[in-house]
Formats: sequence, C-alpha cells, structure tokens
Amino acid sequence: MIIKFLKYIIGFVTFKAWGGFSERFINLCEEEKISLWNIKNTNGEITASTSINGYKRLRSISKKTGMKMRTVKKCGLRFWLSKNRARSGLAVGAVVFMLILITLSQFAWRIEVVGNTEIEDEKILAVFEEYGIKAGAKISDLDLKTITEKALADMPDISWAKVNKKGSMLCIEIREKRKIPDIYDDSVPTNVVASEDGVILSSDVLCGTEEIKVGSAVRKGDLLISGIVTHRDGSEELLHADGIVRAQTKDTFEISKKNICLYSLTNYKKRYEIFFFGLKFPIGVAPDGDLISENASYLQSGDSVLPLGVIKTTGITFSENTVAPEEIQNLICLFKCSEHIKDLNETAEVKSSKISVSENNPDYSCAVYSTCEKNIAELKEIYTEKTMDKE
Amino acid sequence: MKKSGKYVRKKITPSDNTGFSPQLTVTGNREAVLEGCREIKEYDDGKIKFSIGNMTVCFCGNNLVIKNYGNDYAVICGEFSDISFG
Repeated sequence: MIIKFLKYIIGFVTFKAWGGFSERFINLCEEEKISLWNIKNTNGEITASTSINGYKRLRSISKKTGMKMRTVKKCGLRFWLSKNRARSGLAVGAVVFMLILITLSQFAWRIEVVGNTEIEDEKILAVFEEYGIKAGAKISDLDLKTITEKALADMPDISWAKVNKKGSMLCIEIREKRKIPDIYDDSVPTNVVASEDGVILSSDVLCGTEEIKVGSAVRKGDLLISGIVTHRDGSEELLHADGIVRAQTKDTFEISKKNICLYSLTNYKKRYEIFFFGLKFPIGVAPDGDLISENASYLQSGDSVLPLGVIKTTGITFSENTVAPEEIQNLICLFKCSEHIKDLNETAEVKSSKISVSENNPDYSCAVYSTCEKNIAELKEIYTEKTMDKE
Repeated sequence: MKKSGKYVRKKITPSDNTGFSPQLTVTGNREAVLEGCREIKEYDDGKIKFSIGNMTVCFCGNNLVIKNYGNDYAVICGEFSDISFG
C-alpha cells in the first residue's frame, strides 16, 4: 500500500513495446538499472510500467533492440498537477482545506460532562473553564492531569475526575461523592410539643408517654408526648420521645395593595456577539440595566454542539410603577393568595379555604382562611445535667 | 550432538550449503521469487526462461507476469504448470 502510494507520488508510466527482441529489451533495462514492473507478454507485445526518468531512457534501448514503444497510461501526482495546471485554484483550495483541517483539529470543539447526577454540568464546566478547559482551547497546551487535580480540589463533592480526549472533543468524566446519611440520634432525651394551635385528630406514639387525648385542643408549645417515663417501682427514666400527632389547624394569610410593588419596563437593550472557538466578537455596546441576561445559540451538527454561535445579551431597566391600574393590583393580590394555598398544600392537607376580599377598604386587601390537617409534633430537648457519683 | 546434557537438533536449511547460488522461493503455484537471475533468455505468452549462472530455470503456465525485475531479482506471478531446470 505504502509502495503504491509512493509510486503514485513519484509518478510512473505504463507502456507497450513490440516488434523487436523483447528479452534483450528487458535485459538491457536491467543493465541500465531501469526498474520495470508488471511486465506482461501477450502475443509478442510487452506491457510494463516504469518510472518517469526510466521511461525517458527507454528510447535508446528500444532503438537498439528494434522495438517500437507507445505510452498506455501516465499515472502520478506530477501528471495530475500538470493536467490540472489551469485549475491551480483547486490545488490551492485543497491545500488550504488541509491546513484549516489540521489547524482546527488541534482545538477543543466541545466539552462534555459525563457521570454527574446531582451537580449541574454548568457548575463543573465553570470550574474547569477557570483552568483553561473550554471550547476553543488548544488541546496540546492543556496539562489535563494537573488541571484535573486542581479542579478536584475546588469541588469537594466530586470523588474522582478524568478528562479524556476524543478527537476534537474533551470528555470530563466524574464520580460524585456519596452523601453520608443523617443518623437519627435517639440518645438525647426529648419531649414532643405542639408546633401550633389545633384540635387533636389522632396520635401515634412511637416512644414516650401520651399526654393528650383525641379531640382535645392544644396551644403552641403544649406537651403532647412526654419523654419522662415512670416505671411501676416509682423510678423514672428519660427517653427520646417521638410520635406523629395529627391536628386540625387554622391558617390565615392577608395581603393588601400596600405590600405590592409594581415595576414597569423603561429600557430594553440588546447586543449580539459572535462566538468562535472561545473568542467573542461583540457587535455593538454592552447593554446595562437592572436585569442582564445572556442567551446563546450554537451551531449543531447532529448531537454535537460546535463552538460557533451567536450570543444575545439583553439588558432590562425597571422603574417603580405608581400609576398601575387598580384592576391589575387587585388581580395580583388574588394571585398571591392562590400561591399561598399552593404552598400550604405542600406542608399540610388543606381541607377548606376561604378567600375574603374587602373592597370597601381604600387599600384593597385579600385574606385566605384555611383549615388544614397536619402533623404538629415537634421535638424539644429535655435539658439534663450530668452529675458525677461520689464513691 | 550433545551439549551440556541436552540434545540440540541442528536446523538444516538448503542455503547453508549454497553460498552465492541462486535461490528460488515458490508460493503455491501462483508466485515465485527468483534471486540471483542474470538475464531473461526467453519470454513469450506461456513461458519465461531465466539464466541463473551456468544453468537455466523455466516457468511455464498461464497469465505469467514479471511483477518486479531488477538487481538480480525477479518476482514472477501467474498460474504455473511447470518449473524446470536446464
């Protein structure tokens, strides 16, 4: 294969020779150190291949041996170039293409993060970017081992990391640390008290002495389950009391127009930047404002994101709106109330909710009265003092 | 041949005795490499005769092609039906 390629680069000629002494012709070629290959004799006609220089020297030998020669085929880069001399742009284009290909293959086109479940890609990429691993970085300039060690030191949640080269892509493989589960400490003596006012619906005592009855009303801080247990012999023991006490509670949420602040958009500026291999070419002045956001869209080839794209930076300026229509303010009050019910549902079982609106009030106000069912058991440590027994 | 308590079998190859004699390596009936050939004595459709010093070697067969020729060395390909020495 290599020899064939070299022959093509150097160039060779396939020719036909007939009419004379073919054996003498070949022997003279050997004497003159003209290398011949693929020699075939068909009905006294020789077909063979030789180098370009060898072919030039064959003329004298053919005369000596009385053979007539004719070129069959000319192969090689030299012939191809001379044939396409008029199309020199094609060759220049091919060379430029190769140069671009070689140059671009030296840079990291894409950074991929693999193996993370809890930590976000952006967070990992930001740490590695500090040490130079980013789209557009020259791969040969990166000391991947040292960078990995430094990045690992910066990220305590990661136990192992490795940066692998996959062509023009860098793949950051990581393993996250396993979190130590919270150990339930039941050695501390505790009481269970009510976290808020309510009427007891049910109680499930896991440990300790029950101090309440179903149907009884309790106030915030009342003892529900005691951690002090008295045995039959009169001795007392301090325990880590625990249990689930469900109670019906009431929740009130009020909001007035005074508490709502409205803003209106006063200025909106945007700027585009062309992103090319880690370099950003801004088009225009950087926008300023209260809220600056960046939105990048990159060129994609299949699943691969290429380091070419456009970044849009938006700057928005707000100002307090004092002349907003009343209807909008009222609607926001109602919206806040419904949001509160939604939040309440996450911590308790909301049985009923009533929204009350007082329109007579110049400061429009909304109130939500909810009846919920929830676990009101709260652990409270029993403070003890350790005493040394005197012997 | 006994050497330090172990028997060593001496490998005998033809080249040990041939010195500068021509060498012929044949692979199946498709390829032959001839080293030490001086010149081509005869060459036609089904026959190539090489001079190898004071004797000749003749390849007979179909589609005979000299793949390489030069520096006292020839690679002959084709379907050999007969190789004879004269």
